[in-house]
Amino acid sequence: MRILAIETSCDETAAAVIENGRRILSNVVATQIELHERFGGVFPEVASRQHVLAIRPVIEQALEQAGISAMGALDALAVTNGPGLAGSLLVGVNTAKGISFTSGLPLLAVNHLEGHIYSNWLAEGTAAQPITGEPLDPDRFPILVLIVSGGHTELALMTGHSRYQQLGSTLDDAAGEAFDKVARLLELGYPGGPAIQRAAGQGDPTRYALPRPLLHNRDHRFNFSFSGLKTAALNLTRGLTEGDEPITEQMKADVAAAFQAAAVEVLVEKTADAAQAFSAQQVCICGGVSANAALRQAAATRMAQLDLPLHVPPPFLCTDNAAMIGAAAYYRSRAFPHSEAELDLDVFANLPLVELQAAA
Amino acid sequence: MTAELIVFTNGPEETRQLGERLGEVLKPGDLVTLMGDLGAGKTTFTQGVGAGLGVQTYLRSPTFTLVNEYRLDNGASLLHVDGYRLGETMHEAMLEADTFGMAEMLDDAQTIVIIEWADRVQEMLTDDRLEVRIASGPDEAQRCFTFSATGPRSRTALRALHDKTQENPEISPA
Repeated sequence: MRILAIETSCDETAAAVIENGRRILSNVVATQIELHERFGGVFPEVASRQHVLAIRPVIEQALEQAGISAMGALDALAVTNGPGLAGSLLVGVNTAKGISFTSGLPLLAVNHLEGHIYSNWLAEGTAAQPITGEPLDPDRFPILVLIVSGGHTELALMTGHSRYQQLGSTLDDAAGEAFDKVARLLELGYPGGPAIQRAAGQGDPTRYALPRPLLHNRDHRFNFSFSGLKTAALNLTRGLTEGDEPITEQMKADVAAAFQAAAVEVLVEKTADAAQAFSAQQVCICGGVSANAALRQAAATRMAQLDLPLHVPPPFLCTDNAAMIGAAAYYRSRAFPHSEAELDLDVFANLPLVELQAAA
Repeated sequence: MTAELIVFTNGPEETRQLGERLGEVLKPGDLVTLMGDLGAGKTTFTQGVGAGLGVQTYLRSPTFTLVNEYRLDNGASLLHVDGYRLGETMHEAMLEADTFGMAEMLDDAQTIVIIEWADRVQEMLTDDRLEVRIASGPDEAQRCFTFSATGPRSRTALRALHDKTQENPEISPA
């Protein structure tokens, strides 16, 4: 089964062709930077307008790379319909509806979060984007999932394909948002995740102590909070710069390392705790922050202690992409046949993960 | 004429309580703008506003989604908007705000809108609004809240908030 998948929930315009949920035939992502180059540098900073301009070439490129010359060579279309920016989501959904209408291909609506989860099911990449490492057992449940990105921090238990139980989430800021904001206050640049990781590599994570929010809080055992950690990092930084002396690069590196260590410890420990509490057979971490090397390392060490198989996608599948949407759509169509979307498909900016199951 | 109310809070719990008092007096159609640096307490204050309005869940940061919507028991809705990630210039920020229909939200009489980092989209905002400026200090945990009403609707909310805070000895006007 070949699915053309489209993803426009945030700042990336992406299209991919996926075979049987696990094999990437093509995976095209246009970031703002590439668009700037392609359109000669003059490009409005409006996410949805970027998508409007980029969507056609991106889809054409995905089809071409997959060797698809006619829509008849496909079996279905998949598109993200939430959560995300409403204006951005609409571009993908309307494009997918148009293709579905003219080609007669069935249209599958995919939750962006479910897409991130299924990034771990993609086992075979392309020559340009290979996937290495131990593949996950595609049908061994329950699976404990940590989705951690700029917009989300969620712990969920997957009891079967496309079946989720939400265990917890952030009560305020997403983890990736905290990385961005701490990078900004340390003037390390954007995006914050790689910037913090780079600076932290030069720093001592034990020089300053930062809190581990909600780590041992029984009322919020599987919830997260990163707003307070961000503020603690801010207060720490302000305390360092109160005198006449400017903050040194080493101080910045040490604050970044302390922040990263605190965030990673909370993420990994809560994931491990939940995996044990629900007797998970496998653990998956996904979303943009799962590209963070410290998180990957700490999670690998912790899950090895627990003798739990851990799966984290290669970095190119951690950030937003359409390949994961095609994978999720495939498994969803198998778990819930006849769940095709109609042409009145709407977008939902705040679509929660659990609503999928209820709706199906 | 602008009416003002200044309230000091000591610590996050008092900040949350002050937000809750404001949430209790807000009416559908009200617009609240929040201004304050990173770590000033906007999130904590807004969580309190949500609780005061009877929202059952925690209000999560709208930084990445730009806007989060919550249905209220009285049929109205609360829109929590964040200007932090909008475009670099005010023109770009307003173009982006336009893509998620901010103008329509502001015109909706059934909607309470609360905007963080509102200075980014200042020119789009309704004239009558309750402006909240949060400043730190002098102690690390202390915050100074300045509420400014810029029209008749927001003055009603401000008066009600003033009465609420006087009932509450922890958070009293300066």
